Order: sequence, then C-alpha cells, then structure tokens
Amino acid sequence: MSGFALEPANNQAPWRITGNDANSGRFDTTVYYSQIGGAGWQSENIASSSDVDYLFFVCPGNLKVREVAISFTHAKGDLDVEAYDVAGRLLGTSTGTTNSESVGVSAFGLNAVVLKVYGYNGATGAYAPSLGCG
Amino acid sequence: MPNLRFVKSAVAVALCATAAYVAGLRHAASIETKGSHPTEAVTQSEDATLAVNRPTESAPTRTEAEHEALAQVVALRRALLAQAMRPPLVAPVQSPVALACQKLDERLSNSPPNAAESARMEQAIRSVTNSGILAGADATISCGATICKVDLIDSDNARVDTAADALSRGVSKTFASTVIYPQGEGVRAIYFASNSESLRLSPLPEEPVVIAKRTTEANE
Repeated sequence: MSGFALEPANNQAPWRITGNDANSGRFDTTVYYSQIGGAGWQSENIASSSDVDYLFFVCPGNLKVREVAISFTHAKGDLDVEAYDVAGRLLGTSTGTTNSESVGVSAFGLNAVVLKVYGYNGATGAYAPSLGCG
Repeated sequence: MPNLRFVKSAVAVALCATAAYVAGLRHAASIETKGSHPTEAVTQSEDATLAVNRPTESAPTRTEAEHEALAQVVALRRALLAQAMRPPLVAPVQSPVALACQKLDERLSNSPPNAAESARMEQAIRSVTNSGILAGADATISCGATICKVDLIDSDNARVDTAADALSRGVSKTFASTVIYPQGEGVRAIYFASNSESLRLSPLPEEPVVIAKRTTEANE
C-alpha cells in the first residue's frame, strides 16, 4: 500500500495514521494524532537518531491547509520536515538552518496534510508543530 | 391610440438612419484605410448620420420627439459598438497551482541578477540530476538569484514522483525549501529556494486557526 490510511475513531480526534510504502518503507510508522482542543497541547520530540514523526494535520470545516510548520531550537539539533498529501505524494520540504521549518501548501487546496519531522544527520530535539488554515 | 402618421414617420426615419448608418460604415471603412482608429471612424460616421437626419433649412423640419428617438438609436448603436470592441472583462480562470507557478516563475525571472549564486545553485541541482538518481526522467533547470526551477518530465506518472522525491532530498541543505507542483500526467515543476520566504505565496493569518499535535502509541 502506498500513502496513508486515515482511521478516525468515532469520527473524532484522535486520528490513527497507518501507512506503508512498499518501495521505500517511508510510511511504516503507526502513530496516533489528535487535534488541539481535544487532547491538549504537548511538545513533540525527536528522541533518537532513528526517530521519525509523522503528524497529520486537518483543517476544520471547509478550510484548506495553507502552511505546516515546526519551531525548535536549531542549536540543540537541526530538524527538517517534509509535507505530503494523504496519498503519500511529496508536496514540499523545508531543510533550513534556522529555528523553524515551514512548507506552504495553499495552492494544493488540501484539507489535510501529513508532515514528516526528522533530525538532520541524526540530530535530536523537541519541536512545536503548527498549522495555518484559510 | 398612437398617432399613425407619427409611427410611419418614425419607421421612415429609422430606415433612413439605417441606410445612412450603412453608408457611414462604408465611409468609416474608407477612413480606416487612411489610418484613422476604427472606433473614431465609426463615431464620425454616426455623427454624420445625425447630421444627415437633422433638419436643414431646405428640408421639412422634424419634431423634437423624432430627433430624440433617432438620437437614442444612434446612442444605442454607439454603446453596442464600443462594447463589441472592448476586450472581455473576465480573464480565463487559472487553477491555484497554475497561479502559484506563474507567481514563482515571475519571481524567478524578475529577481536581481546574481550570476555567481545562480551558477552555484544550478551546479548543486545538476550534480544530483547527473547522478542517475532521476531514473530517466528528463530535467530542465533554470535558476535566478534565490529560486531555481526544475521541470521534470517522465512518461510514467509514478516514476516522475519518485524522481521529484529523490531530487528534493538530494539537494537538502543546499536549499532551505522546495515545493513540487503537478503540471499534468508525468510532469512536475519543482521550485527550490535558498530561503523559505522566496516560495511563500500568501501571508499567514496572525494566529493559526488550528494547531495539531501528535501522541505516539508509546504515549497512549
């Protein structure tokens, strides 16, 4: 299977994301996500050199995702991101050297976007994700 | 009960005006060949039409109502002609992706020239495209001072996505930001920028509407 399978529990957050790419194993992580307001805010963390987080962002109602981003302390660890649609197609990447990474996706007109967060060259560190809808 | 005589007179005036109008158009065509603007030429012919139908000292006088009716006919024709000659007000609708590409293309071509930086960025991309990582996809590279664009074409739609992924990852850290826009079956436009601002298309709201978070299975 390629891409993400989204399994909302009772049509409410948290959402379960399972994915697997037969060629690259890119989406072989199974994680749970929730929207803020349902489960509250927690900082995220890339805990080890092999840790990869996949975040599922969804905008409410008919709003579309404009930008997905993370902020972190670059001096503690250089984190990078890749944004995908729910079919697993890469939309864009952000691999800068500042305290934030962001990918603008407004032109795609998507209601949901998956963000992959990982450490550059095995870097680790906490980050705070954010989502802009419009 | 309408005055029959006046109605007959109005019809006659309208026919006369039409004949004069056609004659005027012919006259306008002859003016146009002499270099006048077509609109001006037609306007001149309309003025001529009015003049032809105005009372003269030798012709029998017409009523004010007849003149008014004729003036209205001419005014309507003028308006219709002007409307016909105007370009359409509604521009063709473009998709958001097409608009985004157009905007980024403009940024790419309008950026102040920086030959050294353009060459550096192009070389970074070329080193990846020449490595065989694109698996046969055809890449066309163009670079400005802060943005590069790669047009990727492959006969296989899935393969062009794989090539786009590989290229985006291959230039990681040389560029701060990339975005991949589908251009149709087997065609992708990838934009690379040395800073994420260069690829931003619209300002964000002051505060994000929604903030999402994730909890891992281990945290459950």
